Amino acid sequence: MCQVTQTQPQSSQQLLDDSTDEVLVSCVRGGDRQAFSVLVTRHGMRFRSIANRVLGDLALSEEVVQDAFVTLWTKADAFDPERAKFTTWFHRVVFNRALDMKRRKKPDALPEGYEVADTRPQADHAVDQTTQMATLSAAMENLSDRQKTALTLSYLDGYSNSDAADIMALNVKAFESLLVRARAKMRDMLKAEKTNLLSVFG
Amino acid sequence: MSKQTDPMTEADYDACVVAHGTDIALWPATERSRAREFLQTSDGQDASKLDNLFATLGPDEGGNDMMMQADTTDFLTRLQAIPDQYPQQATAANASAGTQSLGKKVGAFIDGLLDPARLWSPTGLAAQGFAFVLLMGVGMFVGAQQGPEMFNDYDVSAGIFEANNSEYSIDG
Repeated sequence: MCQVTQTQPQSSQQLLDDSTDEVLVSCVRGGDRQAFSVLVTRHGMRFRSIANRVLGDLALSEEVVQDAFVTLWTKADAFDPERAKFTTWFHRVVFNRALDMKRRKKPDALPEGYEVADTRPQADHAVDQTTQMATLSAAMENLSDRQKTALTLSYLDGYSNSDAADIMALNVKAFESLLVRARAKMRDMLKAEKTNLLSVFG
Repeated sequence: MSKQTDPMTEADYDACVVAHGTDIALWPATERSRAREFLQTSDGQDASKLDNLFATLGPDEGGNDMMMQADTTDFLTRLQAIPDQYPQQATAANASAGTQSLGKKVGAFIDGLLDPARLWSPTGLAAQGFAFVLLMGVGMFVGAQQGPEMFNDYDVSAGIFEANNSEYSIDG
């Protein structure tokens, strides 16, 4: 049942904009399109970004997020506000769909004679943030999927340990151990890049 | 984690960062002083730089990545249109369809029972025989539960014989 209550004169749109995600989902459950629209505006781009980090393909990421929002609209009952925050639950929906998509996706064969273009930044831009992020991303690619997910949830998505653990279906201690191992591995890999990456921040 | 008096190691530092965040001021006092010493070392500086590197990534709200800037409006418009393409009424219709299909199933079951081919088959005859025996058994059980006096009201012959008794009495 939609729990938006009017305590002072406000437009219904304003009320929805001010409502929590959980309240909005309760409205969506009752067929409230405005509430759905607010959730889309609030979270659509963020979850596309999250899916894209898993898939590395914008079109597929949009497909995954659209699928997740269809689920939200048609099966809003699947979300139980007693068990998790909306963002935690929805992250899990998007993330699991993205992983499924990634498993199904097969790399396209390159045509014969095809040469990969060198898209690396020029030497004179070697110290810019793009390079740092590229190096960091490359290092993260060497982590296990679970370690990478833990780092992503914690540092890129900004989840608390508790929420991130919930998304990964781990207890908090197990998540923290995973994150510690991931950090240690990242540090070891980045030490090799010390002169051309970490020294930038010196 | 090593003892609180030992110098902090990289593993200790990682554990503290994971548990308390990167802001050392928010760490427990004992860990704070060890961390300050650790950060003076080469390993500590590397660890700190790694955190700075993570901080540059920051929580991504989906709008920072250059690649993600393309067609955002189109994407959001498609998401906003989901209620038009997937009406929730479909769920109610499905529920109604489910009820109808249940009715159809019951009807089909009854039709099946009355199917002559099934009705006069050995299995059908056996089932009918079993049902007859069961019905008789239940009837006998119910009858046995009721006393014979309950039937006197319906026993017409009992009254007739009473009358006959008085009519043909030697005394009468």
